[in-house]
Amino acid sequence: MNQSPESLAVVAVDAMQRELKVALEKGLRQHHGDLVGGMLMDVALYRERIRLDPKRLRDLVENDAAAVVGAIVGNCIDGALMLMIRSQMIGSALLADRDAVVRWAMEGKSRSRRVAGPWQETQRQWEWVLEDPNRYIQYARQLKYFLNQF
Amino acid sequence: MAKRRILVVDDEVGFTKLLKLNLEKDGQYEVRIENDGVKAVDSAREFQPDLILLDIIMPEKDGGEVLADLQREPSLKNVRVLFLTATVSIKGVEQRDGTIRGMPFVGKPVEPKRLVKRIEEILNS
Repeated sequence: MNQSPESLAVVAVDAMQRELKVALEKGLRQHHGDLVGGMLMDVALYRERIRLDPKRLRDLVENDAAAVVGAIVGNCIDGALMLMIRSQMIGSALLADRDAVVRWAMEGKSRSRRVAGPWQETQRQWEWVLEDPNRYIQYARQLKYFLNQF
Repeated sequence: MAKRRILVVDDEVGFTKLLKLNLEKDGQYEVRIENDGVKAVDSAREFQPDLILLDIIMPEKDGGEVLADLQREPSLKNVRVLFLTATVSIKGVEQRDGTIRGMPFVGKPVEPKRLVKRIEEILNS
């Protein structure tokens, strides 16, 4: 079946985005090692269209916080909750909210021990953030700044 | 009239002491503090509260886990619970009509008058 020129263009853009993501991840891991490179890639993928606009970020973080609290009330300790906690840490870093970064990193570290699957292996990542939260905040903000240039 | 019993479960020692002082000053409530989420159900079993003020994020055992344990206990499953949270702002809690996932919440820092109003609403509902 023939595809329209428009749908072929969309497919080409999708392929290009995938290719650039792979290149970015490879570069980050090569330069910073798997531990830090992987964490920075999470920052790159966080709400890809978000800019460092404090009001929009605050609204997002606030909304997502309610979702985290809802999941905890429902006693859902699973990978989805861990993803939300990781997102909250990234959002807080983009807001340069050091206390919130520390709070979410501690939460992630403590819960990663109790969640089955690959999250158990993320202990060292949360610890890296807790070692120097300001360093993590700067990396996250600078990376997002570069990615949002266009 | 008998005092209403309130169990405060929160790992922040200073906050719970202040809350106890504030809630007990008018002689309306008898307050017990539990700073360890792991011991919350034992404390509740012993104290038999009318209402539990339960922090959501605590080390070792969070508010959701404590709630699940309470609901498994025949003598405690109907006890009323009011969650405390610093994770969602006071404004954020109010925008959700004071409930998240169908459970009543108050945001921290807690303003005593507002808290008493919320406690009374729940106890009288």
